[in-house]
Amino acid sequence: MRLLTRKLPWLLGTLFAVSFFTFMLVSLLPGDPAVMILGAGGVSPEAVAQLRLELGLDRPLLVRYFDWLGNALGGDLGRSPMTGQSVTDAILSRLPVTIQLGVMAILIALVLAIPLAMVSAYFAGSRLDRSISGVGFALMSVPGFMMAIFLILIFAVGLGWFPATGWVPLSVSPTANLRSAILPAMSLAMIELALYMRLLRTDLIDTLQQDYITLARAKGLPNWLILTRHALRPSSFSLMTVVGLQLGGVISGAIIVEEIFALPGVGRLLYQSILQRDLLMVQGIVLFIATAYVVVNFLVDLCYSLLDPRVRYAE
Amino acid sequence: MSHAQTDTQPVLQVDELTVRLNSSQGLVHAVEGVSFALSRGQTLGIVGESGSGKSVMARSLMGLLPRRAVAFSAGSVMFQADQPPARDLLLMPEKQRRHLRGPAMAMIFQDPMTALNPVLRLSVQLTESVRQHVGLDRQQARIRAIELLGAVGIPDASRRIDQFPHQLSGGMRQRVVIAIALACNPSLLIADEPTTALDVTVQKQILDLLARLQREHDMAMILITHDLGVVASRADHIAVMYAGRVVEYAPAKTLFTAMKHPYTEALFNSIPRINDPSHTRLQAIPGRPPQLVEPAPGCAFAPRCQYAQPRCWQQTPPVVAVDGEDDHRHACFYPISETPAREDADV
Repeated sequence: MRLLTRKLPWLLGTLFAVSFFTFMLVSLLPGDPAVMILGAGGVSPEAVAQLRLELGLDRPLLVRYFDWLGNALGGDLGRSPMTGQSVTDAILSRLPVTIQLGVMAILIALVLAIPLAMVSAYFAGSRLDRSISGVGFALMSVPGFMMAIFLILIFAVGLGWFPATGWVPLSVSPTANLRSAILPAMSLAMIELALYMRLLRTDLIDTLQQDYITLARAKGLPNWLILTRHALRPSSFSLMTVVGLQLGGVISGAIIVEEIFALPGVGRLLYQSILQRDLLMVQGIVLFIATAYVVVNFLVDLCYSLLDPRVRYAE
Repeated sequence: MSHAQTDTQPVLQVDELTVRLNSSQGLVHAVEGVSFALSRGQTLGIVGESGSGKSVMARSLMGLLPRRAVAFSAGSVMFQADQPPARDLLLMPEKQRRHLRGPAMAMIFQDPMTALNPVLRLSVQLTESVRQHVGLDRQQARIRAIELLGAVGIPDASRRIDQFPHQLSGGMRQRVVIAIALACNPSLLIADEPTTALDVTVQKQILDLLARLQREHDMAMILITHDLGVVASRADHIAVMYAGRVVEYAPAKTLFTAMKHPYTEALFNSIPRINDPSHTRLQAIPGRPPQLVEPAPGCAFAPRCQYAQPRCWQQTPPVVAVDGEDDHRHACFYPISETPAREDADV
């Protein structure tokens, strides 16, 4: 709990700074939102001025910022002047898709990366280890959209196992939901997989040199038990940090993949809002992403104590 | 605590054990032709500077050297826990050998601060070997673990057992490491510098504890140290190692009264003595231990030996027995003939 009180001011400060810069960045972009809404050609200056007044764009920047921030604190991120939809509602309605995608991607990546990293670290330097690392590098260097296209070609177009695009909500049909989520989640997972594997492998190799591993071997424990019980937990700090970062960044990470698979997620919403210059929507989503990022990383910090009792008792 | 030589088969019979390790610089001649035998209830002290091959030998006996690190090992290590026949550990597949570690042979490590897993409770670390080898269930194993903690002198064992290693002092942690080693009643206990990392005041307690447990369990023990003083009164036999070889091997009493090898003498003279006037300069052995990659021909100690002759630089002295004494051997062309001038051998 002392961790909480120590970190909370930081957390709030970060969020405040993020909101400020988001607002400024979006507001200072060239182009007048009022002109964008009314359409560029042949609009009378009076009409533009009228709309600016309605949108409150005539007020000073700082006043608008605090106005927006005050509403945001109350959960109201404003209304999109384009569609009239509430920004908060738009985000919340699309959030489950993005979260499911992100969590599935990370789970798939972890489930594959942890055993592979163990094998790699245990046989460090062997041909097996080098092959695994090689494949990992190859996966890591493939951009996400390429991976998505490959997976669609193989599993949707070629084998026909999964749909190429579209989304079925969990509430409609859990199996159809999984089928629609698996390819996008895989596209994201394949890239993270290699990163997780390399991180964990490096830390595992380091841990396996420790005296306590030799002691565990001196007890005559089987290797799998030494790897899982004695080596994995002390080796997973970097991995957990990165998983936390990825989880926080899952919305921005999913933009391209959601667009390719036509998934109704927050990433796609952001992408489309940018194309339409729906600034209020962009602003809201960016603030939301940043908040999610900061909060998740804060939670990860708290989780270190689960991994290492020394952190727990140092509190 | 000298024990009469028993007629029974030795627990451990090491013959011409040679271990070479891979390193980036080349082949490391870590252990070269080491031989000794050890019976139940007996203690063998192995003394030498760091880098003399003591720890590599201990790990080789335990089968703990990383497979990829060992370039080759030769000789034989006949081990017999309870029933004959003795089996050669070097020829035993790792799958079988693993089942000896814990119930038949166990090891205590130098640094108790790093030998325990920081993220696991003592209860887990203490119980896993009995659960693995003896097949006790969780509850039985826990009871056994609390007994063990009590036996190694940890007060309030039933509370301590649920703590993490960092909540214990260094001496307490070494007691835990000892308890772990004893969990399955091994026949052979290898203690690799068990007190080097501890405070002087705790050292004696730990050594006394080891001696007591050895008696109670009738174990064979190998006590590895760089401090001749530690093994003087606690070992039945002492093997002095230098550059991977046993340069002198003798019953402890004989070694201190009739040492033959100049290196033994040098080690002996570098023990600080309580009877010396204060500010007496401590006699250090000049030079450094040799590097073990591509060792030069001749006696490895020759560059630091005050008695070295031209022959010592050319030929490696073979291990020979002292006339009429079967268990006193040395590897020197020019053994020391007279007893050393200093008589306060009781350290």
